[in-house]
Amino acid sequence: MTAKTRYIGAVEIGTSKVTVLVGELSNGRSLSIIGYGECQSRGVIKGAVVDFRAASDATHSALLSAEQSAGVRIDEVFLAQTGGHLEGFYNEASVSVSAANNMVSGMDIDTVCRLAKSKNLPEGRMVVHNIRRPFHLDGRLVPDPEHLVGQRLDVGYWTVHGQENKIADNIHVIRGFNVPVAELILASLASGTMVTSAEDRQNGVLVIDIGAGTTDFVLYRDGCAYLTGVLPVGGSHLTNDLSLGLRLTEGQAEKLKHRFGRATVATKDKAEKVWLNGDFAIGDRQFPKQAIEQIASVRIWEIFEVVKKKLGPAFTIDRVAAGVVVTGGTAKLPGIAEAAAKVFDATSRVGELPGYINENLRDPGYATGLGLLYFGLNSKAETAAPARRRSGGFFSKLFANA
Amino acid sequence: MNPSAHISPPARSWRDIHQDIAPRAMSGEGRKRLAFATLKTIGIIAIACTSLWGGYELFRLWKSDPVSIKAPVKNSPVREIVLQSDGPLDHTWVVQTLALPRGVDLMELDLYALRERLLATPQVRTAVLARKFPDKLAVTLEERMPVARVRATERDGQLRDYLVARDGFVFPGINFPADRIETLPYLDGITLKRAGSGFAPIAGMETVSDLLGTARANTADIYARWRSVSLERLSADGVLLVRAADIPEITFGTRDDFLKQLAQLDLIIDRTRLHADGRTLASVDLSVGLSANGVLVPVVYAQPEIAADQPAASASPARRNARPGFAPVFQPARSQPTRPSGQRPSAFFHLADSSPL
Repeated sequence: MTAKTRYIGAVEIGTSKVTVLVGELSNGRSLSIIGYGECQSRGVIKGAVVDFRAASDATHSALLSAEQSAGVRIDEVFLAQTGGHLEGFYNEASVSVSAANNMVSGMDIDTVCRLAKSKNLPEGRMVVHNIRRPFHLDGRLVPDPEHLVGQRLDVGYWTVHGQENKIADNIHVIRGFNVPVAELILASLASGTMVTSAEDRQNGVLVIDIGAGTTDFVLYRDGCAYLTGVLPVGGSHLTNDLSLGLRLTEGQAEKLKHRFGRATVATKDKAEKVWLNGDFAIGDRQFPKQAIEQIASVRIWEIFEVVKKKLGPAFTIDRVAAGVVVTGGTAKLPGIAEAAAKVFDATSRVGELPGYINENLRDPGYATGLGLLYFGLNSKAETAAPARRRSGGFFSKLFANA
Repeated sequence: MNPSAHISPPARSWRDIHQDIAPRAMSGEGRKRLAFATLKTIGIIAIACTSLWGGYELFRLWKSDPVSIKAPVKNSPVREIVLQSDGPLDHTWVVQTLALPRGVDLMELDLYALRERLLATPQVRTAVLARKFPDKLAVTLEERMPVARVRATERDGQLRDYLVARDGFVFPGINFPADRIETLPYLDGITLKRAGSGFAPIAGMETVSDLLGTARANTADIYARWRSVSLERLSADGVLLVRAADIPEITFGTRDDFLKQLAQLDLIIDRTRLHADGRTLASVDLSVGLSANGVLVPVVYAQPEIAADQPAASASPARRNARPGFAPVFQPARSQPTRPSGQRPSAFFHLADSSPL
């Protein structure tokens, strides 16, 4: 390992599985995926750790497997955060440009950003992300207002916050492996970055990541994340519905879901039946195919409806020109894009990972892990690059109150 | 009024979470990593402390008695060269080659230049020079050992024998005993290329060395009769041609085990001696002959010497009189009991033509 090579672990502790990808970051600028580990998750319900020992064992097993496949030791971890406890709010601030010639300075930008982020949270809540929306200078949208001339500078932040205990539990699971958590990244942001292009995000796109226990969504507008959210409902609820509706065990229901589940009802014949196992052995039973599809489609439909309701007026067809992208493990359900198109009344597709990703990892279930590595590369690249503007230098602090 | 004066402190972020965790809450692997990291830290601290302490001691010594530090460095002429070598190069040769000025100081020696001086002799493979305070220069040599000889024409037209090492280096050979050199076979079928004052290394010598080494170690009597080894067909056909005192041409294949081929040769020579009625082997090709029921080795027998008083059938060379045949050499497990001498081994020899054998 050279001095400028670091090994990053991208960890997603999901409800059904723990995924770890190992990336080799060279000089903070290029990243290669060199290892991979996966383990069935235990002790995690709806994205939150409920059994520390079981969750630790599963996560550490995946980390160890990834380290062995890469042949290196992970230096730091980028951890995906999800769970029903995560919430978000929008807060904006505005300042008058301080210079006499109305040219926006770095200090104006820092002030307006700090103002927009300074909102107290209830006891026991912590900030996970402060996602900045574009600046507005005298009402016009500008990506970087420095040195532009104007009188009033506005900026807004979408702040994602969660329960301190649940976030700490996730971090402590990783720390139990004696690896530091360098970044905590919202799962929807990680997967959204991977399955959409910069052009999609500029035009407006909604990304829905349906995992086993949770559904994460992020709405992009003007090139940045506009709104995020998490629903404590996922693919495992489909399994549960099938299990209750058809009186099956969870394993049998999971098998039926994978074999015959659909997000839209395609079977017209009510009498068409399918076998549970297909081996005609004792215990093998028949089920109406249409009933399986109906149960699955109703739940998927409901998930999309809830997402739409949560988005509220933020989601309008004219502001989301790139449509809806569905990803995550449940996105493999046939007809899911069709269902999303009907609910949101917009063009929909199942998220595809970029072509440069290895074929073995080009599955919607790995979008979050790959997105974490992408964030890792970007954050390290920012660190490696020379600082463009130093905020709060000695002289600016000295004359700040003058 | 500056608005920043009224900005409330930022809300608590996930970065404020204390990441330290009690070792009890860690998994076994986590504890192992923690122990490794702790040991690493302790090691680094120990090395840093030792370096600091060493530096301080040196500084203290330098302040109190600077002469004691400088003494071994200055005024210590080389009194002895200690040689350690795995070959015949001796102390006299080393002294002559290094040619150190009389009374030269040990610290003034340019060890790199001296090493280059030793390595200029191709017989020296590696040379390590070290100062041994107060007055010795230690020279450790690793020499090239010859596996064959090659005869080259010098610029003045004189023929001269050179030695060839396993790595293909050609060198004159210093201090090697003559009886050892005389047992080495000559190389044939090569083109020597001059490089600087010597010759360029010969390609394929590792294979030749393997063959000669195996023969010397396992069939010393056969090896002793070998006169030359030809590399002419090595790159094209993958075979080595050996000319022996009693067999003009023995072909060895490089794709098969040399020991096995030598065992076959030994058997063929023994059988020929017993059953060939005075005929001698003209050539043996050990590079081919694997078949379902054993190994068929093509051999060519030379006709017995024609008596001087008998008219020669033709003036063709001996090779024309040679006849090809196939001598099967069976696997050791299938070998047949030795027949009494004088009995024809027709069960063992399948001939391609109507040979009396």
